[in-house]
Amino acid sequence: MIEFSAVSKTYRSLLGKRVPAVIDFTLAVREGEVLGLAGPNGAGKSTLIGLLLGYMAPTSGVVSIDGERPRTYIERYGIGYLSELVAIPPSWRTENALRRFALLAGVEPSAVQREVDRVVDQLGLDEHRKKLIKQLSKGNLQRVGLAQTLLCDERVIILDEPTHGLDPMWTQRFRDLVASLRRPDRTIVIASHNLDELQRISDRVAIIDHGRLQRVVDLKATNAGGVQAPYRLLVASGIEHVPAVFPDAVPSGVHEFNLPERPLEQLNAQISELISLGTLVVSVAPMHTALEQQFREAVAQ
Amino acid sequence: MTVPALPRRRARLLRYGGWQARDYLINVAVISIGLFGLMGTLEIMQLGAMEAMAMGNRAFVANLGRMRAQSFMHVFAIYATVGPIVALSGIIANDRAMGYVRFLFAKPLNPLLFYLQSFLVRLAGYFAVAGVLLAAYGYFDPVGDLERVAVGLLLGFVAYGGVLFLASALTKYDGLVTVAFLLLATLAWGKWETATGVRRFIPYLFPPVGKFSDVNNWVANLNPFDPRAPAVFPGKWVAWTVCYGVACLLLGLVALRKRALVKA
Repeated sequence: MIEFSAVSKTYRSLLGKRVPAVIDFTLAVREGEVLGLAGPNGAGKSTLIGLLLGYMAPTSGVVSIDGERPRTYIERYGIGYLSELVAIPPSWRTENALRRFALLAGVEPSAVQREVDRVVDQLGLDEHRKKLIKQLSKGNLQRVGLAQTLLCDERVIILDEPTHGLDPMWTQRFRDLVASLRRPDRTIVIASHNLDELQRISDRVAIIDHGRLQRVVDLKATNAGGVQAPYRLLVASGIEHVPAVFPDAVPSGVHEFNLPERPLEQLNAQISELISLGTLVVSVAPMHTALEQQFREAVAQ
Repeated sequence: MTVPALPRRRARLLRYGGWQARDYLINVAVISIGLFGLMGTLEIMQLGAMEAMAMGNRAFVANLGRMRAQSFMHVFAIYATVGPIVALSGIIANDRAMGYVRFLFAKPLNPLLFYLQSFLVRLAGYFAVAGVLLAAYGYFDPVGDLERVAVGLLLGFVAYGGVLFLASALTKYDGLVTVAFLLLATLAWGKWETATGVRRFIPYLFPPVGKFSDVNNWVANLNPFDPRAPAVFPGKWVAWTVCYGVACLLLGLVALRKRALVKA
């Protein structure tokens, strides 16, 4: 559905200095897929999204959506896009802003109010309908941005830092929303710094750094294979048995230990032994997720 | 799985024109009426004060018609020159600088059509504001031939507005750049029109805005050389300046297509 073929983008300063933002980036995003885009600040995520929206042209290479140039595709069909910075004129009122966007999204004029009501309800914006955009909090503004993304039934949705400014409740609702948006004919790209979020909602995550694609993590395969990472063990009682079963455990808090990484089979066997000795285990969890681990490795390279 | 063909969608741009008109009314029309209304009021007050001071002086009374026409010409000239700049300022640059383009052009919408429609909506708004100002001015003093006024306003909008449109497609300081450019054009024509050598070609890089101002005389039917003769329409200079404006407008559309809509 979306294809980057050997795409590079170099900016030029006024003095002619060349700054490469994306270098030889090749990636295909399939229909029905949720792709996460992760990378440190300045890695090139925003440039990639700008290229994908056709807001700028690549210096070399080709970007395509459904086989067409991005602007051609967007001007014919539109896409759902939530930008990192939700920029809407501050003097517009929330409901009017959504009505405007609905018209521009190609919603039938007779259906505009219905669609606006739907997204207002979906994103809990009813009490903010009549407010000026400048009166909205960061989180509410983010929800308006998300609402305008969902005004039409889009085949391609691009979300740039979608949970930026959302409170924990709305962050969770956002995850549910993305889950509900999944469809075999819909492609979703989510750029985020929040690896935990990407881990929960993406099928694959492309990790970029210094403008290059470092690796693509298939989360289904990675999660199935387990995580090779240090673990954190929390016990409620029977703490005295821990050093015997885990000689390499390092106390890290009250009833809490850090365990160096080990194969899952070994870990499970040791936990069973600990439980059989009468220790009540509260939790044992990797200190970082599979994606975090991959991210660290990719960015360190 | 077979995915159904994607139906083509189009932004309801004509409907959106209503919102663009509303933005113009709130952001530009009110302030334009206030600003240019004040200038017109000052002109009328000045004429009234002169009439009071003349106290029926026969020479003054004989010349009153021409003085009224001159007063109107001053007001018209200001609106026909500054009005398009006020009306169009920020037309593209503001959306770019503020990042509004990001949401707008993720919709099935061609930026060229969007801004061309915005240009036309602002033209209509410029005429609507002129209508209000003319009605107010006409209450106190005659406004002359309305057809000429309309033609003069349209020519001014295309000539100066085209330059501003291009500036707005290229820079966020569009109003400032346009004013500077028009000043430079006036200076270039004033200084080098009769120069010899290579310098005599310099003015031809700019629109002849100084000569274009003869349109104002034509609108007020004032012949600066012979008070009794009718004003002459400066066809050559108008054609040049308006063509320059249209060319700038077209270049602005090209720039809009070629330049990045946002900076990452």
